Amino acid sequence: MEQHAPSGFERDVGKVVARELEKCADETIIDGIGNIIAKRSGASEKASVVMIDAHMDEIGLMVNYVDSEGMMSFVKISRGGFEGQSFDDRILPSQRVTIHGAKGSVHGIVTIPGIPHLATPEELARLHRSAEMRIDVGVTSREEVTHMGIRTGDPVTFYGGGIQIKDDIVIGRAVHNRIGCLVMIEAMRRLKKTGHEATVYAVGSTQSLIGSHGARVAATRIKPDSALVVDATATSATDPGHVVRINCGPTIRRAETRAPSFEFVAHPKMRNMLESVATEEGIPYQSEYAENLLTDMAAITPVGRGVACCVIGIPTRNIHTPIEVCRLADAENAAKLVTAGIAKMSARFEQYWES
Amino acid sequence: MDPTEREEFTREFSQCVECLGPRGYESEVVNYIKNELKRIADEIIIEPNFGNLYAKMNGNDPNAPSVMLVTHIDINGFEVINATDDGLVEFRALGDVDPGTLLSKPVTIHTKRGTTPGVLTFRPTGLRSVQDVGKGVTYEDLCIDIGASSREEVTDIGVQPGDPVTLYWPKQRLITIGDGKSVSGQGIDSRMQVFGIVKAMQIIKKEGGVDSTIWFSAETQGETLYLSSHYATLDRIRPDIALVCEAGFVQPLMDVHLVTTRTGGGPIFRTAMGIMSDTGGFIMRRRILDLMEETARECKVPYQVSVWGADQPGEMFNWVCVTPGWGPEGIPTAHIRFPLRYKHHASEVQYIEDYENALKVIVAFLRKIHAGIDLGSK
Repeated sequence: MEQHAPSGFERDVGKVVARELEKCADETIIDGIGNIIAKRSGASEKASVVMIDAHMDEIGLMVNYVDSEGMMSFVKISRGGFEGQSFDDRILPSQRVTIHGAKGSVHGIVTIPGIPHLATPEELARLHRSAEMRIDVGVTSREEVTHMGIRTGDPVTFYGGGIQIKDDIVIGRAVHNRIGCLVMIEAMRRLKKTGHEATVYAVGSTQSLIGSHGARVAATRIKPDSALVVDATATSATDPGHVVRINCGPTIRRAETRAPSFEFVAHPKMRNMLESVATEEGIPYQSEYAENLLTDMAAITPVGRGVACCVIGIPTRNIHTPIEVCRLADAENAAKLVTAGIAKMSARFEQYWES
Repeated sequence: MDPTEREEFTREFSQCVECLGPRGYESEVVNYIKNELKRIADEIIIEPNFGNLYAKMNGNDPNAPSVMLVTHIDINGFEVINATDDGLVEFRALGDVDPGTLLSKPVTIHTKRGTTPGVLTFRPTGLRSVQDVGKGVTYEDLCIDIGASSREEVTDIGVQPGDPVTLYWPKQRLITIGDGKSVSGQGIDSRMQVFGIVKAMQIIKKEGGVDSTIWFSAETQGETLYLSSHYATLDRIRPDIALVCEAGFVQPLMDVHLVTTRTGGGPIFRTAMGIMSDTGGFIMRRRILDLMEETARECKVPYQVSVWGADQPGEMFNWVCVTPGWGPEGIPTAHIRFPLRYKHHASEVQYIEDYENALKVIVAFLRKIHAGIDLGSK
């Protein structure tokens, strides 16, 4: 989980995911866009093809321009503008970051203008936009920055300070979506033990956060009948209609939407199956309608003749920030649910509607 | 400093930065100072009403003027108020960190059972995020997430009202950035001054002392509460000269006429501050400024003279001068600042060379004071 992998630069995490998947897969490949694709043949040749997808990339920044004083402007590696899926500018000021340049990692901080003593209360409460922020590596000139191997286009991740794990509580960087990768790997391990009829592909996909390109490419190659996307999901606040909380089990998604025009509905048969399996196996779950989130499901569902798809979410507080919070019990239950669900997916979903 | 020396500096300074805490929780840093100075000070007093520490090093010439180095030792931080039903922790600010820099930063809650990690996050208020994404961050918006899912879990973990909270997780309060020319963390104000003064005294002791008796007045609560603990000092110690040490503002992203000091420019001699404010301000005695500039030139280090915050209400160290008995007619006060980028943000940046040069000037200044020196008294 400690590896750094902003979208487009997922190699280091890919290596770890590949290493773990190789231990429980029949064959593992890395495709042209960096996806790790691991295949387990099922007991039955005629059974359906299921794809488990967990994206490996994380939010980050990219160096834009280094000025004469050695301060760097940057852009965000994450689609979505200021609303919706992109991460909030307000987490950036004073954030510790790691720049991955030609000579290796360099630490710096994101900074904003402003001195509290000189500011009025209105100025202090002002919104700071990422365009006015700079990355500071503690020098005073452009030459020094160049000397460290840093230039325009270098990816930047959040320094994070490691993952803090205390009993069941996980606090740290890239919980989204390393926890999803962990669940996928754990599910494959369990499938190896229990056996299964369907052919299963586990895909560690790339570039999810800038358009789900990895997932789309993998689905086009595999042409699965159905797909289970495992992703960290947002906990919602106090609307009594649909509250997602940590420590209450993984979510099974009904639909996800990003206003104004994108919405993807999970395959209802698949979703119902997952919910009954969860109930039968005693796995706690939360039914979820995800507002303002688009996952790889959006890219996988329309591929080829269409793919039956559903998302299993691991509730994560403070998602899309450098330090996220989740519970290991939720991750374990998610792995159980994926395994149990795949056991029921030996046949394709031939029907969409209840007859 | 060469890279090895800088690494050693970072390691030593980290120990100082790791100490608690904000006002009211300074015991760890008081112990740090006591441990660093116990072998070289002739006297160490812990004052009973505010917890200030006074360390005295006797001088070699009883006729030389005595010098008091003074700084506050508390830093900006937070304190737990209580837990919510959802398992989040509400807190108050003890100090003045810009709230715009606090979102998503790691914090450590210091409970009686040990430390527990957390992160500063938005307090859930309905379906957040889309609606108010255009709004800046204020303290009212924030709470601490330690990963608990209920009030009971928070209590089980050991978090109680009144527990102090610091930024960053243990052993990560200070990091090296860039290629090692700077360090970054929170609490560099005031730990840089504390570290610098301790080092200066250790250097002086190693050389066999100086003419003057040197006092170090390490005062509590001064980051935010002007003049509370300082009164206790004024009652006990009447030096002939005072040297106030603080962190100075540097902000490369702001107009040079507003923040006139820059990284790499060396120690800041604040010759005036708050002179337009309602409460009045401070102008350094001209002869003392000359003395400081002479010292810097003799050390061959750069320095910056600054006139600050003309309309800002007088900061603590202004008042050293105007308090009865200490006025400009009384105890001449010099004022040196370690240039610190982003003072009062969640990530401060200290250019190590600026610290080095400030330390050189402090040591040289102490060596320079001798019996009969002209301090510009009328």
